[in-house]
Amino acid sequence: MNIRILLLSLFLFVSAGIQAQFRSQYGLLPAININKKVNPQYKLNFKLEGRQRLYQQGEATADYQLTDMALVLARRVGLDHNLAGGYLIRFQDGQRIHRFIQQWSFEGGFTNLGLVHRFVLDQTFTPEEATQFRLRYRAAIQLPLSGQSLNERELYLKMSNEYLGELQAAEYDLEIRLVLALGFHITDNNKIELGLDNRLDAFLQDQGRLRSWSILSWYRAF
Amino acid sequence: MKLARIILSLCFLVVVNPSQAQVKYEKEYRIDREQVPDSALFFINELAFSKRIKWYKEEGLERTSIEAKTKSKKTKKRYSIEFSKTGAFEDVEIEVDWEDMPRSTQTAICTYLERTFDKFKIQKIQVQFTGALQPIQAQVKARSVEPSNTVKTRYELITKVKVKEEFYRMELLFGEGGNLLQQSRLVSKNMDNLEY
Repeated sequence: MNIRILLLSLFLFVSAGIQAQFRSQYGLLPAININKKVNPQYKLNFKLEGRQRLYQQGEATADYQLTDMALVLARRVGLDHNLAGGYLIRFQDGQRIHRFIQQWSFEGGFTNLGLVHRFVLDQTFTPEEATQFRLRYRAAIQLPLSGQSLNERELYLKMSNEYLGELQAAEYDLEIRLVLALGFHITDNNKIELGLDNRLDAFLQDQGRLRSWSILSWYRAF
Repeated sequence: MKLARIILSLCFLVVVNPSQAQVKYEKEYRIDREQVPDSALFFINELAFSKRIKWYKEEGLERTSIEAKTKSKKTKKRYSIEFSKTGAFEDVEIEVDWEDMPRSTQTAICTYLERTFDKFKIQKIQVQFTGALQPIQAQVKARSVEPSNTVKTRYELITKVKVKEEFYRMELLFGEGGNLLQQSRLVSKNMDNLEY
């Protein structure tokens, strides 16, 4: 328990420290995530996410950036594996941006801890811009804070690390995401997470941009 | 004879149908050493583990137990010693590899799994020792995971299985010879928050 709290504190401290090294932004990233099991093989995921910028390059700002709505249909293809495909629509600056998503995810080898690996291919279509292609890999783990397995009304720590390779009009970029969140496992189908999502990009050819978002996510399954 | 066969077949179907298996609910949480009955502390001290002992309380639908968990410095295997809530010894479970089981047990379990499920994956194996205290203490002190004549040996498998397009997590308990003794369906953990 103490090590986990130390990890969380260290993460927040380091996040604040590296803000100064890059062009930085800070804001809020609330999300609602609804999952519906259609039958033993198929399940649907609906995600609604907003993004509000509160700080940019040392100055406070109140800039509502975007709203995302995504619908993904996943099929269980093995004991641990899921294949999924979906569509996301983004409302940003009066524009509608469309994204198609293909996803493969599988559970890792721990019995008590949750570990999920996820590979995603996506294609984003923005008006008057070249199509953006991304290849993403993410590992996400959750650690119960009391006992060895997660039970109802218990806290857990969630960590995820994602790498996003991006290609658009023959230009490439790499984005690295690191998320640390404290979760409350109300029931197995009802979870709330509060934490920090750090996203570093544009550092291959430029000074780099670090966007930090305070996340508040609600996961509900039916 | 024909009727007996039909009844036997029906019994077999009921036994191997995971959707009919008893669902196992357990809640486990850490407790302080001070909350552990003296008899359990005494038993653990006798086993001479050099690594730290972590104590847990496990609450099921019908019973509550106390568990001591640790790891052997010598064999690197994880030990779980279970007591009743009053501190009476119940069993020792040691996490083992597939190769740690006798060859004949491996064959019997494998045959059962292949015949019963369309697909299966073993996530964890624990050897379980029950019986008289002294032989068990001797077995644990020797850090042995092999069956012996003086202790009752069973194998507990946590598995993911697929049967008729349905997926389940199962806890299967086998005897020393690989015969199925008990099965229960574990509540599958929802991983949506790690996927999306």
